[in-house]
Amino acid sequence: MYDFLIGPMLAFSLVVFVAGVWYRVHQFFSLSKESKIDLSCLPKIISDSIDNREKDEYIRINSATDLLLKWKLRLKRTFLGKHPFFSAVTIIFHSILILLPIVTVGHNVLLDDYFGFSFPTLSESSVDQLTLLFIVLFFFFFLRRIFSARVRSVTTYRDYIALLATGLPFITGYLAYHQVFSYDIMLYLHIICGELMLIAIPFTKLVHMPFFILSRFFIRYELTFGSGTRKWVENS
Amino acid sequence: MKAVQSVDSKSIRKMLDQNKNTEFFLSVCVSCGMCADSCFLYVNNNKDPSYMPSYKAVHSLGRLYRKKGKVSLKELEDMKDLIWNKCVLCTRCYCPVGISIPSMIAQARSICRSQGICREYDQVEQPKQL
Repeated sequence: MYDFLIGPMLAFSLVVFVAGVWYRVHQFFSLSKESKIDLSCLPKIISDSIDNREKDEYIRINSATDLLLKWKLRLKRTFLGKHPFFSAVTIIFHSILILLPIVTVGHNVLLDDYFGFSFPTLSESSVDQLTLLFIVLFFFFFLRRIFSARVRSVTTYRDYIALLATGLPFITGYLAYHQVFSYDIMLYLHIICGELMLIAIPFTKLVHMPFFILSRFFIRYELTFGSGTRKWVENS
Repeated sequence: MKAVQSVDSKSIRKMLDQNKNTEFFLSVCVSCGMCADSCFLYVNNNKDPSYMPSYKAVHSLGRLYRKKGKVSLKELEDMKDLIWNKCVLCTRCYCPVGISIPSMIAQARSICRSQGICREYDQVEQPKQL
């Protein structure tokens, strides 16, 4: 059973994950098209203001206070300034979600066995504490979905599937490490949940993982990181 | 007097299939609710969730996709209030994932219009109690 789960089943889920993400990336590029803004075609004042916005020269910096003001205004335009608590929670949650499986000792031992290379690892106690933090944040998101009126009003069963798909590998991993219930069964459940999460990424709402990077870097709008050069195709 | 209307599900389905990116947006929306504060109507209506940009998109176009265009006239009438009275298409709503919410509401409006449901400018509105 164990050999099957970390052998053919793992290979299958990795293939589905990579192929699914590739399909989604392909879909993104077919739904958007390259469209550069020609500043020379715009009226003078608009093109100047776009120029200024790119250079962020709305505030002339003469002192340290101006510099602080500039950063304060910059932050106010983002979630970090508007919702500092939720931003911190979501950044920590997503960072742990992506980085923790990579720096876990057990995963790196498997990686070394299969491919002969491994990533730097964190000590087991740090991984344990970070997992606990992740589980606490997972329950924060879960309760928010139930009790926050604005989130509840748009929540469907698909959102719960996405949330459970991310939370269960960490919860089962934590229980397996602490040998709660049967270690073997928990380990099997941990591997199965992890593989199901990989398979779920391209096909559930977890697709926001690749989509977030693509849309925030490539599509041009006010929240783009850098200067996006693409826009959505209106009628495909 | 209103003429008796019926909903042409096939043409709704055709219109839904024409615009692939809105379907993609709906499959990506994580319902995080972070778009709420960017809508001035939401902020100025006692934070009523039905004014939230994602609520308007999910309960209009999202419903059309879920039902594959097979909706009743009454459901379209319910959508009318949501997509015309509760949204002005100012395009100021932001999405942390990068979804274009106004394009979804605009498409829902087009579909409603194609079925003869549109904003009535000659109706008498009750004054709002402030």
